[in-house]
Amino acid sequence: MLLKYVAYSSPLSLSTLVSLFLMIKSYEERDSEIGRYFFYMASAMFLWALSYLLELTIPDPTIYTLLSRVRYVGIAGVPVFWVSFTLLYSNKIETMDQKKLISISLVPAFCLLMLFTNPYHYLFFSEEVHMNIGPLTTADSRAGPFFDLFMYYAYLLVIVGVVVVLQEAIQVKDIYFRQSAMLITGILVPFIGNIIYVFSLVPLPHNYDITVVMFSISGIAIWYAIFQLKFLDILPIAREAVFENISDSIFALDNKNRIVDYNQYAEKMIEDGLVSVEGSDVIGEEMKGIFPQMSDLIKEGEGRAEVNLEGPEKGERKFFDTSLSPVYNKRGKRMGKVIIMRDITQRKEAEERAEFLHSLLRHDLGNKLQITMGFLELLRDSELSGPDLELLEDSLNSIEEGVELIENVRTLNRLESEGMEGAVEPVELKSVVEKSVRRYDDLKKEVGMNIEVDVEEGIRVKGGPLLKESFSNLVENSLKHSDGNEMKISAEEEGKRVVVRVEDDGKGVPDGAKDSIMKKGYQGEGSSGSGLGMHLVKKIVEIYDGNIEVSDSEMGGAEFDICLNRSRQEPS
Amino acid sequence: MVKILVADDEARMRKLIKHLLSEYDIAGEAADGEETLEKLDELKPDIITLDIQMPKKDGLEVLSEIEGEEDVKIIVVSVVAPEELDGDKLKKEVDAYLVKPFKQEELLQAVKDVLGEL
Repeated sequence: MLLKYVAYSSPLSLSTLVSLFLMIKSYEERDSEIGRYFFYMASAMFLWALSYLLELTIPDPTIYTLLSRVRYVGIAGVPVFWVSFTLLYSNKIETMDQKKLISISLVPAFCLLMLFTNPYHYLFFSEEVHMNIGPLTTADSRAGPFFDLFMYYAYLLVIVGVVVVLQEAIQVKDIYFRQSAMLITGILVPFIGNIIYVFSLVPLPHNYDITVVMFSISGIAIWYAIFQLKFLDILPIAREAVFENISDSIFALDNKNRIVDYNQYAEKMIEDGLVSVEGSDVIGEEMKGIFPQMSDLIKEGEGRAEVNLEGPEKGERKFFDTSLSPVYNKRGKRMGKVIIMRDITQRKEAEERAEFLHSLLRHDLGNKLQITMGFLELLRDSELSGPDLELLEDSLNSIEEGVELIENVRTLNRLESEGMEGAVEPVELKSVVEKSVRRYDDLKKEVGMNIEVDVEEGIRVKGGPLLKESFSNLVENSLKHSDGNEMKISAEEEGKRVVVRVEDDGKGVPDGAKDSIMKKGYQGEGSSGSGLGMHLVKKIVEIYDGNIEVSDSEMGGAEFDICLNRSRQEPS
Repeated sequence: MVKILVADDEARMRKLIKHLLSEYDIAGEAADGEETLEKLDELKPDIITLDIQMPKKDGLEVLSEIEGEEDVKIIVVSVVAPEELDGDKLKKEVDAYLVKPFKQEELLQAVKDVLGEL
């Protein structure tokens, strides 16, 4: 008899201990919602196992009945918390709020009420007979309609949870697949045990509930899945190597935008006094409290911004190219954010210096040209005539070209810094090409070159005021450097594009120079120019979403093909 | 006769503008922002040609100090393009804006346009 008692109670004791172990271990994870629901499930398992163990050993029918009722509270809890846990685990729900929990628990709660009031209606158990077999106490109970509802609903919840985890197992790989497989094993083992018990599929002595015994096996699988495979671990394996040694400042934030980690460069930033914080440790601090300059970026949740920080020394400024990205785990759940701050102070200062010099040159030169042009215009209106007037006109033309160039550089600078928005307009190609050619009438005569313009009226391209500068540069380049006699400018519509061909019969562009001729500062053989002309041509064409190619012309010299977008709109 | 005040820190630029606008009464000239404000008060011109980059007080500061004084028309004449400044503010307070280098006719036209509003 004693042997029989030991045989029945030992597996139950083991299951109780395993459940208790799971409960204690999962209590440590209660800070996360997933960990909390796993803790609830382990607690329900523990309640089920403990009450059943006591139930079997206490012969008093009143205490037995009370314990069996408590056991059903545990039985009701396991599937409810299991399904909650799996829904959170798989991100099917963001959070398990009270409303959802009450909806899931409604049926088991009502069935429990029916169980506790069973002697008044016998709708949970239609019959309940207690038996004492030696030291063991058991019951021979017949299921009533609410017992069936209770069990089938519990099975439904278990199956839903299994399906959810199975979906996860199919979608994810490696460690997460093994984790999902372990979880399914962990829940299916007692589930099968329960089906055997409820439907008496295998004859068990004294109506012994093997579900609880199965917990001792499943508990190990679940423990391994959750705690050994560390499903909450989000830090990458190579954290030390990458996170610490990358030469940018990195801050890792949780979902509430509090700092949870930072690397050594970020630490240096704090030490250097670029961050106003008491002490040197910012763990747990709110990011926007330390970096108010980042408030908008943090609010947006993702993106890039330039952050300016003031140093401890007067007038000291630091510029950081700052990016903020959400961090997801392998199952796609957002675990927090990472902020990477790249120090761009040197680049920024160089840009500011360049902009200052550029602006100074542009403004001062503009001013001087204005004065010269103004006085020459006044002189033109005086009594000058003949060769004197011609000389004056030449001076004025030259200054006007300089003024136009300044204007173009200003526009180019603006387009490069602000983009193309609003700058593109339909351009009548023939008119622009003819104006570009007319500008060099004198030079054309001087070098004895003939220019043929073969552009049909009505061809329009998407361009702007800079386009004329582009064609002018090509014409000037050919006149000055080709040593040719003939130049031809033609245009052809090709679908949505228009190709403008500027070619001559001169010496052409050597093969070795075809790739570099458009680069900034390139100077051809014998050229004394700034090397900006052809580069400007390329930049302008690219600004209008076009491209330019250099090749050998059938005329014998160089050929420049400018490809631009065709426009169907009339020029304004 | 229409009185014009020429404000520019560059003496030759003031001389040029005075020549270009010689058909009008050039009431005076100013070489910096403070002098501009003094001359505005003293001469009560109908029009001021105002440079932006000037010492002591720049053109924008002058503009903000004379804000609300409806009786003077302002023609900004500057190498600084409006898009390089606070465009919205300028649209409210300025009657014409010429970016240097400009042509003689452009300045004369700007004055005529402003006079049409007087």
